[in-house]
Amino acid sequence: MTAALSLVVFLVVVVGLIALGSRFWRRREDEVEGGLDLIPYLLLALAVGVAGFSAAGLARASLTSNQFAGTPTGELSAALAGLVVAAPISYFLWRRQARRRKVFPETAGWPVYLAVIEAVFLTAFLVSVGQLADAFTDRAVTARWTDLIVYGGLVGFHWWAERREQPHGDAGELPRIVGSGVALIALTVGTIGTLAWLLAEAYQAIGGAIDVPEPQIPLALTVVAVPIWAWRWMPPWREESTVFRNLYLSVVTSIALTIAFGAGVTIATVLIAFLLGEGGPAATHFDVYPAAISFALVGSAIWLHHRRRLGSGRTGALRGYEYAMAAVGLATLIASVVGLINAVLEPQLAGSNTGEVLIALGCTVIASGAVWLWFWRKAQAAPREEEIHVFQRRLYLIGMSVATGLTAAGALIGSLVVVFRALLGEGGEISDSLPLPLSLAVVSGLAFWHLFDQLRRDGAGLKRLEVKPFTVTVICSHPGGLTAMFPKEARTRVIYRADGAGVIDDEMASAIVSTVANTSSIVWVDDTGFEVAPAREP
Amino acid sequence: MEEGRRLPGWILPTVAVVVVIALVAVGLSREPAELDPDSPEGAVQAYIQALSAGDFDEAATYWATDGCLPPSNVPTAGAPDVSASLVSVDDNDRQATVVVRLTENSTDPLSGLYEYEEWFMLVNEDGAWKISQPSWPYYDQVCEETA
Repeated sequence: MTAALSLVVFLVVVVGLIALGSRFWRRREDEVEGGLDLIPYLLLALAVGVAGFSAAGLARASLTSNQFAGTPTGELSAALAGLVVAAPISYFLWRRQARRRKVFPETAGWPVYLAVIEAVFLTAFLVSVGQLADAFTDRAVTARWTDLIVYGGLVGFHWWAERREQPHGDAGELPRIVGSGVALIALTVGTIGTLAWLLAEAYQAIGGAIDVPEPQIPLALTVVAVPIWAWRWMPPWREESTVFRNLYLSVVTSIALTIAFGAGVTIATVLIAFLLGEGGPAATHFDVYPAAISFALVGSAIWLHHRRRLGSGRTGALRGYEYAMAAVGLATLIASVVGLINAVLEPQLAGSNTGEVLIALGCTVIASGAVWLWFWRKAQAAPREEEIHVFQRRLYLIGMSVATGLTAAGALIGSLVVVFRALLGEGGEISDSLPLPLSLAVVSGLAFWHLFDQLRRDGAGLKRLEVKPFTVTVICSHPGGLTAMFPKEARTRVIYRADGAGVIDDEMASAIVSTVANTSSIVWVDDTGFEVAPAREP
Repeated sequence: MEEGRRLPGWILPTVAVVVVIALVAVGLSREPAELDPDSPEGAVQAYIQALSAGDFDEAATYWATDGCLPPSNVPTAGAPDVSASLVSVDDNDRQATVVVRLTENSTDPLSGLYEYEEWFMLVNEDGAWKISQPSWPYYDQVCEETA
């Protein structure tokens, strides 16, 4: 009786909302205007999200419930309530936005909506893959295959919609970028887990003592994530790069290299500690190697693949990667130097693992210092007049200056508190509590001084390099990001070729800016490259 | 041409509503899974089912003989009105831990559902799994040690 009543309530509410929605939207048909359409698309994403998770909850409660007492009325009620509210809203907003896309095909809301859905439901789909794999080996875990169908169906439906009505503009690549990122995370987790399992088995086979991890979840993730990643990432991208793709490439490449370096430092630390007699028996001392080698291999592979896509010239993505690595290197260098100083000064009461800690910190100082120096020198070696203008360098210098400056100031306050407490006759031994804040203040202060000095030099360089207004006429098929790369004194005029033989990518744009050298010029671009001829000054 | 091939707008919502109704019907008519009564999770299932049915004497047969037991086998609040699902089982030959998610309908309609996880500790007594120190749904009863 109760069940029948709830179904009647469900039907009445759904039909009522559909009728109301139809009248409302029909009345507003004439009020259509263009724009980003972000708010309706975000509302649609919210409604589809609620409807999708409610549908998954309903299917789970009805078909794959692990119920062993009573009926799943709670889960069914919650899912029905979510569907009653969200499904009609999703339906009407979807139809409304489909009509608007016909009139305004280039709205940014469409790719943003697809990207949000891809992030949420592709993640949910991959999590359900892991859950299903877990259910094969754990008798208490019920295989929730319905999640796979609901989430997979939603992702597939939106891929189909994306192919049918391809998003345009700079944000048009967002869904693919987000899908690539989500799949790459799953692929990374899967391959690291699979390799760690294989290497742990090998380690055990040669006499090592180690807990071998379960392989089912990483294996399933690898098998499922490989085709998804290939489908989203591997097809050719538009020739001219976008700010989103540059950002994605910079972030992925720098994270991959950081993972590889971190694993490398761990491997070196364990080996050096063993050679210096700081570790225990070999059978247990190297038990971290299977995981560390897996991280190093997978991090290196991801870095290698994405590094090639950054290009060889100083593209925006390459700059982002180099400054991100310089920031990671400098931050790790500060932390590890402070850690090393404090480990050295720490009073030792009895036997401890200080030796291994010192080796680990020493290796981290060397590795992070090398990373920072390498990438900072590369940035300094780039042509100054162009480099000091770029956003990535300003972000690195200003962001790191603020971070190190605030850290140094905070640590200095901490040091002075310790000193004043000692002077006023309170607190314990000053030598116990002073090294940490004082060393942090000194090291962060030095880093801040270096960064601030560089900012000052860049400012002086900008003044020295002040240029007179000049005009650049570019004849090409598509200028890409060229116009944004010239200094503000440049007046850029683009004459579009009728054919597609002269598209300017980031690498070529960078080379054109260098060749023009802030003088009035005419730039000709064709499929063999570009040529620059001086023009009469305006 | 393409417009002519498109489905009428009412088809998709109708199919969705029919699917939802079918799923609810299936969900409501499904019987709980029959677990092996000789397994720890099977013992917990039988225990919860006996409590829900108000058969407290039957439920008390699943208590371990040793340990801290409630003085009365009748819960103060009477038979619990819950649905239960299995979360995890961790066992060896002698003892086991079964985690169960319990869902209770609140009497206050605005409070919705009351959901929580309950841990059941079991010991193996002569081949049968018994619940040691049962606390749910006897929270308000101070247990008494039995030897």
